[in-house]
Amino acid sequence: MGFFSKILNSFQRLRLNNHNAIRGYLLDHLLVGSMYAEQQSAYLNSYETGLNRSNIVTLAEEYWGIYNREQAIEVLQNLHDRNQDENMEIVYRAFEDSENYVDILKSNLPKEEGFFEHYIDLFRQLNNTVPELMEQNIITDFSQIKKTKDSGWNYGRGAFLARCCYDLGYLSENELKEYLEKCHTDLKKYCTTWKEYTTSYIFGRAVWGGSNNSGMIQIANDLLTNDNSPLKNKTYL
Amino acid sequence: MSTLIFIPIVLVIAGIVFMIYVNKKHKTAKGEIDLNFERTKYDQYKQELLANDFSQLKHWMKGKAIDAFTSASVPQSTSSKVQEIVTDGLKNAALSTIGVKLRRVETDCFWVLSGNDLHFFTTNTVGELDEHIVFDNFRIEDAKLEYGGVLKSQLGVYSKSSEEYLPKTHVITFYIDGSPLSLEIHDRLNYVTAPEDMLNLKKQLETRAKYQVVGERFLDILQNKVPHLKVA
Repeated sequence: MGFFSKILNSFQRLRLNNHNAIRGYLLDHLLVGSMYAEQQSAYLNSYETGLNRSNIVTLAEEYWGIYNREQAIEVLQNLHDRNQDENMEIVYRAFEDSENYVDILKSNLPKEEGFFEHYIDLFRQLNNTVPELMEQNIITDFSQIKKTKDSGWNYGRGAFLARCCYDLGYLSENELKEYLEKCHTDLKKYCTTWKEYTTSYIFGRAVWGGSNNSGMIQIANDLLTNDNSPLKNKTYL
Repeated sequence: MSTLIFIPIVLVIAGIVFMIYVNKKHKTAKGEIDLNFERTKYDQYKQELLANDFSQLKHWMKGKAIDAFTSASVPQSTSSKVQEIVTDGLKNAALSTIGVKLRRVETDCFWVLSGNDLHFFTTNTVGELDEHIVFDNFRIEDAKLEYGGVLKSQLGVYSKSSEEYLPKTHVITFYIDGSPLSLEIHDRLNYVTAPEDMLNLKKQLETRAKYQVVGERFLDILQNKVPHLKVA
């Protein structure tokens, strides 16, 4: 049933909750998770996701390892902290300086086994991803990414995952509202516009998962241009 | 007895005379080339080849520096392994990403050393760029190098007397998330006689010398850059 409902939902682009819609600034907070919500064919405009409970359980447990409230809080906090990773600044700096990248990475990244390799992998992903995104006209140059980083991807996943945790009873409505507000506030430090948010999300996903981001690009376009999208007439976060 | 019998005899004699003539000319032309002297012109030849015969490399590198370049190949063993990866599924995602680009073994391939990176280019059957793989400094530092002998795919095509023209190879093995991936570095650029040079032995040998001078320096320059990369 869950599988078929997901297929049915995928044909109904941009799911909106007509009974319990959030409006105003609270909607802005909610929309930080809109890319992930749209990926999952969830409601864009309410705290409840509108997804089948078994689908939410699968997403929380299998994809995120969340089985209870404590794990939910830990994962959500981790996603929130990702953008404060100073080592990523080093990776970005190395990417911009192709002549000196070896020195930059070797002298500044943590030497502990596993850590160094983790950031080298991210550096390699940047090398693969950025030219691809430029070819696809998602970005015009790296400076765009340097500003936004993968904030959209991190806060975006956090915001939607928090809604899933709310549906599962791991977070109260107040806790969810607080978390979404925090995501929105912190996202604004990196992204000025919703367009920057969707681009940053696409970038983050590409670094994580490699090529084939046409689906993400389509979702971003839908969110920004579809007449029914809550993001349609919004420019600034 | 018909005079027709003399025709094949004359042809055989003419053939032998022609072969002796060509061999003599070959020896003379070869004697005129001092490879050690040619080696002193490395920089000049490198620029010349990049401007003419291998100008596509500059295009493919999109303005990045070319410190050295030579021909390359994908060993049959690597190609077979790649086939296994594709058939068995993605057990090593990074290796699969690189591996699927290396299925073609018979077309021209090139190495370009640029700064800290090694660029591997494969071409299609008409010599256009097929795949471009970059091995960064950290992959090169972890790599292993060993002598691979005369390029095996070309053995048997040449006569014994032409063996000196066969490329000798070194095999560089990268470790992609722990899995080995081997590729061949040739000690010269791959030379194919241009139709207009078929009868011009001197030009053929001069061009071969340039291709060798430029190609054989590649390994030295790479090893100077990455001293750890000594032949095992």
